[in-house]
Amino acid sequence: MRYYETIYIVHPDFEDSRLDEIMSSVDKQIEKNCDEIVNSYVWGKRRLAYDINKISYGTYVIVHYSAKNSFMKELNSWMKIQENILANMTIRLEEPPTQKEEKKVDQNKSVKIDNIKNNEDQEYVKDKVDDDMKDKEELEVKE
Amino acid sequence: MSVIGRGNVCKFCEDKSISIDYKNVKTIKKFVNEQGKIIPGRVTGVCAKCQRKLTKAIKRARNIALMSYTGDSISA
Repeated sequence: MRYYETIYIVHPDFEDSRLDEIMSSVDKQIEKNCDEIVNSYVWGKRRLAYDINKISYGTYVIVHYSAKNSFMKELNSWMKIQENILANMTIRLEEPPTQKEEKKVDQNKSVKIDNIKNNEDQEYVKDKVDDDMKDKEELEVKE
Repeated sequence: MSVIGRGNVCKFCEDKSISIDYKNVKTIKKFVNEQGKIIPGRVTGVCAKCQRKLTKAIKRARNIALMSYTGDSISA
């Protein structure tokens, strides 16, 4: 078993949940034949040095894992079929990869999301109250 | 370009913390000319061992669209 690094470019229109979907599908495909997935993270959205399929931006995703050599051809041919993956490349790592720490970022993100959700909830409640009031007023007017 | 000059010591041997990696585009970009061609080690002062790694990194970066094959001025 050797360690490999696969980098692939996802169509720039795919963000958040849709991007996660693609990432999980790729991870599943890799998991079928690999020992372990060490890392799987979004490297960032970048401008491509040259257009691929007339698209000039892309989201780079990196996966570190250990697998057998024979799996590489299979993965590459599967990647080529995917419509939303613009390009992919796999390289062999000389040294085993280190695990990336993303917990801090995740916590911040989740806190932010929670805050937003709370705000949304409050607004929603306000709206609902307003609507109720309006309904009541309308009813009164009708009566 | 600052990397060009006779009598330069290999930049990567001098500072071991610089990793020659295709993802490290900022560093690699200094070792190609305007046309996107790889500058020979005898010009930049990079030692043979590092030049081999560098060449590989540049070619990988080109393959995954991190670097241009033809140089920025031509493709843009």
